Amino acid sequence: MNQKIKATKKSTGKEFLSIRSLLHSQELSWGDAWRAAGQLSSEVQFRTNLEMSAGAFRDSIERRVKSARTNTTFNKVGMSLVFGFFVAFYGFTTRTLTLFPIVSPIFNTGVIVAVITSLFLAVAFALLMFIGLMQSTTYISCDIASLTLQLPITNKDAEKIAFLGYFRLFDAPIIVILVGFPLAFGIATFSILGSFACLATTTITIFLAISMLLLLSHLFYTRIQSLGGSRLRGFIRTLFVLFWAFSFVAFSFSYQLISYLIPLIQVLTITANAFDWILPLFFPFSLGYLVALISGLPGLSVTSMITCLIGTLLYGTLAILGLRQSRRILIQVSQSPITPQVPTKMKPISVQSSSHHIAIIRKDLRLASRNPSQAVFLITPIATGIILHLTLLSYISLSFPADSFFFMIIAISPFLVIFFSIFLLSTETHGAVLTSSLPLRTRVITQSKALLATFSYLPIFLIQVILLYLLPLLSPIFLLVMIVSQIPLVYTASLIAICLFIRLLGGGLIIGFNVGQHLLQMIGVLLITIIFYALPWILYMYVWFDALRFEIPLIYFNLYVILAFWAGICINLLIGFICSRLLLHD
Amino acid sequence: MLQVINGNAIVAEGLVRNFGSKVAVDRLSFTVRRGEIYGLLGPNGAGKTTTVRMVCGLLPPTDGSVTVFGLDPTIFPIEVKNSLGLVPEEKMLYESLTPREFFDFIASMRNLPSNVATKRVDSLVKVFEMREYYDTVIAALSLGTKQKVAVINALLHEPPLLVLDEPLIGLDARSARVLKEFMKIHLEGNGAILFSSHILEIAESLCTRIGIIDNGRLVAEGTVDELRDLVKAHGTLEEVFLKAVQQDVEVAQAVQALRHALSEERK
Repeated sequence: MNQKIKATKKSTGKEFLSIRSLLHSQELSWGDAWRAAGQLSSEVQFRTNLEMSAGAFRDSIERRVKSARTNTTFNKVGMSLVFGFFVAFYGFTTRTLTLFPIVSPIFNTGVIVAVITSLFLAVAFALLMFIGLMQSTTYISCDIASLTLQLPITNKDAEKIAFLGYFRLFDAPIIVILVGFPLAFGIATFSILGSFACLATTTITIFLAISMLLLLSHLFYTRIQSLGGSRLRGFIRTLFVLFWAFSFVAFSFSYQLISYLIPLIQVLTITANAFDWILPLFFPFSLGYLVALISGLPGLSVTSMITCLIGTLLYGTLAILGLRQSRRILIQVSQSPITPQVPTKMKPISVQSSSHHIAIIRKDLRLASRNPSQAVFLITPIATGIILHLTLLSYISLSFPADSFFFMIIAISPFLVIFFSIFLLSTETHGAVLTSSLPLRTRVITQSKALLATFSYLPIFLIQVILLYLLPLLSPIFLLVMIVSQIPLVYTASLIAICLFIRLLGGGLIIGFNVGQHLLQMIGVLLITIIFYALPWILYMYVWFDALRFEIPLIYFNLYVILAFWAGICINLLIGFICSRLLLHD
Repeated sequence: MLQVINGNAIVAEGLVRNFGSKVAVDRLSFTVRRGEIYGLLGPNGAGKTTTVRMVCGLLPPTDGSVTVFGLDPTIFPIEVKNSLGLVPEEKMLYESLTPREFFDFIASMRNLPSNVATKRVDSLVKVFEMREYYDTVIAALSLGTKQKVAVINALLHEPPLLVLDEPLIGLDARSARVLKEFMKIHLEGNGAILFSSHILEIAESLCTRIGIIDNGRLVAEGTVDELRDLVKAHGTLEEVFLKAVQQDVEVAQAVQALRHALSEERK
């Protein structure tokens, strides 16, 4: 622990001291406060990353510190690139659609620009919200006061540093958006006034997003995350986290929206024309319309102009109120650690003992229910499954043969479950040391994680069964057998992936790991696992082509290939069983 | 549960642990007998925590061997982990769980029947006065209360060997006293304790024998009186300790330099 603290302090100690030397009894200047806030936000990010690698306790502390530093830089650069991509795409779209009326020649430029700007402001808002949740919650929970109060500064300066420090958590993406959006707009429309309007609306959007983010993470830490005890509280907490995780996953797929951008803008433009008396009242359309209005682009109705001005005034006021509320929370954070709500009603003490597997699964589910970043690992495969099946349905409506697409989806949908099964190891942060000290074989842990991964596959399984019943398929029984076969296959493939990863990183002993630090190893393990997963499918294909040479009735043909496939699954189960014994230390 | 037979609780022989080129523990040998508290003392980075982890089977030694009640933790990890209760220096709790959920998990992992586990947890929670925090998420608990959770976790299955790495950190006076008394009671039942701490006064008052390690090596071992004779130092364990790790002269020089610097500043 001492070593850890020493290592953590090492990262910022010198900087804090140099800042400290700058300070006298006078009020801190904004420049000094900005620099101190930068160190504060770096410290928070560093702590978060160091905490995430706590499970890798067999590594030396120096290695963990190094990887935490690398991850901090990596996260910042990654976030900036994502936002940079969206800004560039915004400029490109605006330029293209204002030059070439491919959306529809009857629509005027003003409405199109208003819609595009609104759409991208919405994307920026959502990206900031979803990407920032974890960092924001850490900022609230990690006792900032212990850092600010040790400086020889007044409470007012401590508040200033805490306030700026929070913004500096997102400084790189904020700068990219603030500079990028107006610049992209200016280049696309050659309107200087419009660029300034774009700057103003982007600022409002950022303030709204940051205020909302801070409010939600404050609520999450003080009211939701700390809820233990009753089933109702647990249910509320789970719903909140699942909603957050599901939104995050759904949003991750927004990249796919790029391919649907033109039809989406078409739909939005039609809606904007039909409801121009009310739509500009809603966020972010008010801001989008304002940019179009100030740019002097043609085609905006008087009603929409008035409504968008009212809307902008409303959201501008909301942004200011949000900032004031954020300031209040951050002042609280800068003065003393925020204590989460403690349940007041005491229940009698009782310990509910259960089997090893159930206890581990229950523990992992409880951990996930309090941590959106871990809930994502369970939600992603389900969300992906749903999206894949919706895609399937849209293809069927285009008169593609449903059987072959269904078959393809059966083969593809377990991939993400297997991929995310490895992530379940990351739930063991500090707990990895605890789990290692318990009289527990590593294989019990790996089996439990693989079982949990398989459970996350079950909703996909159910969707497939329902679709099987609803769709006019040629060979529903054959497909049902293939669907059922995925359950043992997902289990063994997940088991192999987890065992391989533990062998690679922990020498066969249980480990916790940091996703960012071991991404390459994860990809390597997944490549091997995919080959393993594909074995029954390869056998199936081989037998299928082989059986084509004989003129046999369809029912025997299907029976023959299914038997081959199941034989492949049995081989996989056997390999999984052997591997879990060979790869693990105990 | 492991049937404890007569003999030594821990026997470490020529233990070595390397982290890359760094040697954390270097040919360390010591024995912890049943019915004694063995204090493992050393300066920061001396290799105490690494030694504790090797004893508990959390880290395999690079060389040498360690046995717990005659069993090698690398060969019999389950039996060894069943026979000991560990309070680590770095708290290793699932911070998102409440103590209630945490003890459910621990009792399940240790195969304790619900009624037995409930009885033990109930009495320990009362003794350590943490009933009101029983349904609060561990992350929200104070350092001292987290320490209580870690201590209860180690005592839950009534192990014959306790491995306590800085167990009193964060505990209030009452709970610290309870734990110290518990350690004495534990010895009456022929148990053994490996105790690692920086607080030398406590080590002096509690430990039957003491091993001082520095740079991963055992530099002195024995009762406090034996250590005094060995290093030819008088007075408290602190003085003996500083002499054993050859820091007495260093400390004197540092204090002298500090005194000089402060007097210069005052001028």
